[in-house]
Amino acid sequence: MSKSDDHKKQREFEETAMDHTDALYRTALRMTKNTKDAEDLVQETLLKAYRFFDRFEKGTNIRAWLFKIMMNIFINDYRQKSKKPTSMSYEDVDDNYLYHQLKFQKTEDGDPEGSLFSRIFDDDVKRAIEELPDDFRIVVVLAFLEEFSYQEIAEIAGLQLGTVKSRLHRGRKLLQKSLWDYAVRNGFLKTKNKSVKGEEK
Amino acid sequence: MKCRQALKLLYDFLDNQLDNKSVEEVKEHLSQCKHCFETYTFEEHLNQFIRTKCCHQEQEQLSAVDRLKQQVKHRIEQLEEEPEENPEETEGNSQRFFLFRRPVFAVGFFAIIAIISFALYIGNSNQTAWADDFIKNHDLAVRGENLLDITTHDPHMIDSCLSAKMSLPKGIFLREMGFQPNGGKVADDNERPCAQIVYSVQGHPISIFVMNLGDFTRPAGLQKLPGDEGTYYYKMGEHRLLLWNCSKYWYVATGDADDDLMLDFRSHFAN
Repeated sequence: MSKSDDHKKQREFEETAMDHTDALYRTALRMTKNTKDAEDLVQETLLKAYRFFDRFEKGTNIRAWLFKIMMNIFINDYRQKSKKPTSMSYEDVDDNYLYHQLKFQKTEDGDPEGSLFSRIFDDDVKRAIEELPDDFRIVVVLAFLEEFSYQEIAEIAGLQLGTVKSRLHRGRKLLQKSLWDYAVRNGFLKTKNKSVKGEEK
Repeated sequence: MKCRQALKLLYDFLDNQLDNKSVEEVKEHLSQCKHCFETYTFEEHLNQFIRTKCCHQEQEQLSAVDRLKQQVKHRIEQLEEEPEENPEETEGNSQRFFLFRRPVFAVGFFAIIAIISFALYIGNSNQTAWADDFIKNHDLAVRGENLLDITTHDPHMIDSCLSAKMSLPKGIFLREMGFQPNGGKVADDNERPCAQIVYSVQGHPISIFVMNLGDFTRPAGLQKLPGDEGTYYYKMGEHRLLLWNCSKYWYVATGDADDDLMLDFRSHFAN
């Protein structure tokens, strides 16, 4: 390959692929759960993408292609490190879990949804996602954060469409359950009780 | 549409996975059912809430992304530097020996080579004769015209041992060729020499190692390729390793191309 070809390839790569660095990093953070591994993972992903850039079909979905490379590296090289048996159970979590919890906990201020959300902080959401078992976390992150379609997720993660759907379904349940727990821990129910007591006086 | 069905479609609806007809049906139901409407609205808000919280980038994160971009640009520039211009540059070397760049793969590869070598080591062979035999028996030598020129038979002159002018099947390009006794080190009497040829197939570097493995028996982990009794197959993550026999030499093809590409590549080297 001549020098000018190299430069052309470099420029093209920077203009198309490297634009997605922030999305890759955002997802890598949730997957690896720490900044050092996330940075390594993204760097490895981009270098690998560059090596195989000739093989990428121009005009097709480069974002999905990059995520596919990243998930492959994550599954092969990073997953083992964080593998631990999960104690989370989604069996006893209903569909639309948060909504039903909220319905039974009607607050006096008339905005239970608002007060629930105000009791869940940025870090709680990130932690709730990171607590999900790897298999569920992959699909949840791709669906929620990156808004990939089910079909794209199936291709990126190398799963059957049905598997994507069922993991996403369970992942959502677990996520809702743990967001509820965070809200309660942060005093969601207590606030409500206090305001009720306050009104009694 | 009944509530039960509407709630079943809730996430498909919010994730834009429904066809137009179903979307209309759901919308119609929502316009008539307060309970479902409220559930949908809450779930939609929750989705947005989670997305906003996670996508919110702090300054720290933004600077990490900038730093990453710079690092990757720098590494790419290093990669593009010619190895000849910079013989001591490690980046250049690792590009040449692409196989050994990835530790996972290198470990797997050497593990397999070690297993087969140890199990079946058959004493010292005359290395010059081995090179002669290799040229004579190498499948490629039969395939095209003017395939190989031997510049030396001295196995210690590893890098200049072979120069190749070959005609290859369409879509396959020769990248480099040389003797690689045990991964680039000069062979001593106890080390088994092998030749490494690196091809580029649709942008994927695929290496073939040719070596004398004696009476090869299959180590654990290698599977027979269905429909091809003579070829063994090993898969590690996205790396593939194919082994097959040609006269007294074993061909070991490795790369991280997908199954189809590897098998297609293999078929070009039919015995």
